[in-house]
Amino acid sequence: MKRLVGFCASPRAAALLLGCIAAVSAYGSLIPHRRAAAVFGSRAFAALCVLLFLHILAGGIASLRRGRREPWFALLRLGALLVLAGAFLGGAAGARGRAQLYPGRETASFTDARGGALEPGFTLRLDRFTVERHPGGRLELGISVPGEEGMALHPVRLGEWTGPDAMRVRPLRYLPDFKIGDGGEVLTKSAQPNNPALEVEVRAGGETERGWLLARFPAFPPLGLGRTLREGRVVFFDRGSERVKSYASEVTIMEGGRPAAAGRIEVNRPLSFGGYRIYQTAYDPVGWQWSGFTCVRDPGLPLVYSGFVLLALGVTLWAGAGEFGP
Amino acid sequence: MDAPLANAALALFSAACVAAVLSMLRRSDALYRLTAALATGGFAALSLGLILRRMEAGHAPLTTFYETLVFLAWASWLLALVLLIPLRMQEPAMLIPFICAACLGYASTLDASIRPLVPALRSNWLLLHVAACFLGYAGLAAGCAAGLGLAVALRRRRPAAQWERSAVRCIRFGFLFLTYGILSGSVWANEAWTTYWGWDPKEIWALLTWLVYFSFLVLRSRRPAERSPRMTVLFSVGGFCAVLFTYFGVSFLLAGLHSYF
Repeated sequence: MKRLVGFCASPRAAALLLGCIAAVSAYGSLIPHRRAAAVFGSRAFAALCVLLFLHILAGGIASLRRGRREPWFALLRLGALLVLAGAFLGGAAGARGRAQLYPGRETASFTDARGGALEPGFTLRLDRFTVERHPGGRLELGISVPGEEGMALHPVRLGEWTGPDAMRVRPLRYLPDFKIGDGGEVLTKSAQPNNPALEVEVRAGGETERGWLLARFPAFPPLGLGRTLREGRVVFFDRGSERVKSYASEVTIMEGGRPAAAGRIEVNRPLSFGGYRIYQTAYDPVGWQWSGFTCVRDPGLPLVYSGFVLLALGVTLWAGAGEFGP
Repeated sequence: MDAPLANAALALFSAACVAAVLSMLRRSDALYRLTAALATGGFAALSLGLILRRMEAGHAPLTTFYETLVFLAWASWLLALVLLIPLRMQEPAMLIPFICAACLGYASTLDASIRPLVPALRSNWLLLHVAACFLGYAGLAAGCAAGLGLAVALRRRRPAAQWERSAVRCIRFGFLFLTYGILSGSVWANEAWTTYWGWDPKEIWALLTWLVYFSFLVLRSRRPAERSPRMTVLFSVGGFCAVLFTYFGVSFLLAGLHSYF
């Protein structure tokens, strides 16, 4: 028994365990994410981590008995133990679930990875959801004419004719958020590129027409260009405007039917309430209508963060102060 | 980064490489000083370029492959200025311009345009995490260069103590900042991605890289009897292969959350 304990605390055991964990991790990084999640969530991998925890603990006790005084190594050991303990606690007692909400709607339940329900004991109501996009970066026209393969791209320069002789196109006006008003007039709803549109004049087959191209709806028949685009095709690209700059949800948390807290959740700024953290993790990529949340409870997090602090201190003492001093 | 400044830096580091080769062949102090002066000129151009790009982009210039390569070149010479030159580690210091020129040469083939930030990168952790990681990479790259110099010195039976000391010093510096980079990245991931460790390929390979250097430093500090220059060569070069895979291999070959470049 003594020999077994001795081996468990030995550097050989450390090399064996770390080698196994490294090999499994490397394998997990090379396979598809879903299969990798199964590997890292397996009991065998958890057992390896438990063995590592026991090894570090046994090594620490052995060092104390031998009276070795290396504060940096003690900090590293303790830091690693806290991180592993926090991870075990988070895995055993933690929970996470997802939900999608439209503005004005609420939910008291989040769906976990196995399809079950996580009920945190409060209700989350989405009051307002806003998506801010980067202003349109590059405006381009794709023009294809019969007899020529592919679609040639041309930068949009307002007022200038562009394209092949068989189909000349002149951009006239850009609207970031195209809408047809009640009186049939064309207008922009906002300065945000929600529905970028380009008014163009097209000259083809001896005819000239004016009409609108919508970047979000390239398959939609161009408005007012029925005669000139009978055979060719013109597509408007608003590159960059589809890139989301930020998205945020203004929410109210209800307990017992009454508002208990309110706040704004955005990426990098989760909201904490009742032992849970609510993250902004998704959005409706088509119509920007719904907002996606992930609700997480991780009781091991304080242990993990304490471990991080000790690891940082230990490494600083060890690799830093010892080497970079005078 | 401003193209004329990047080109000027590349030209200065390339000239420093030529001067370094001549300096090593002729063992000339004057050429060593010329190498250091040229590389410091390149460093100044990069510093100005990074400041201007920061002002133009409105965020730390550490979000694209191009930007990180430029920063890596900058950090590498910073490391030489801070760690090697003050201690008169001349020969190892003269290898650093090669790292800088390689980074800038590769960067010159990439798209240098400033790209809009995705929401997850809009955080103060960006500067801390990425700068720490790339300071770490710079140290480990310099450690590998010194390790190669050590291998050559051993093969030619020439004095190798300075090479080994430089390699270990650079690796310690790199390891320290790699640790800060991984820890700060974990804290940031917990704010942005809901968990401090998601088994993302970049995270995994950063951890594996960290374990390689951790093993090396533990072996050196706790088992002095097993210390040997050959071990330093093995770990400095082998560890840097892990760094290269973490930086390039994971980005180009594996899909994951770190696919911003």
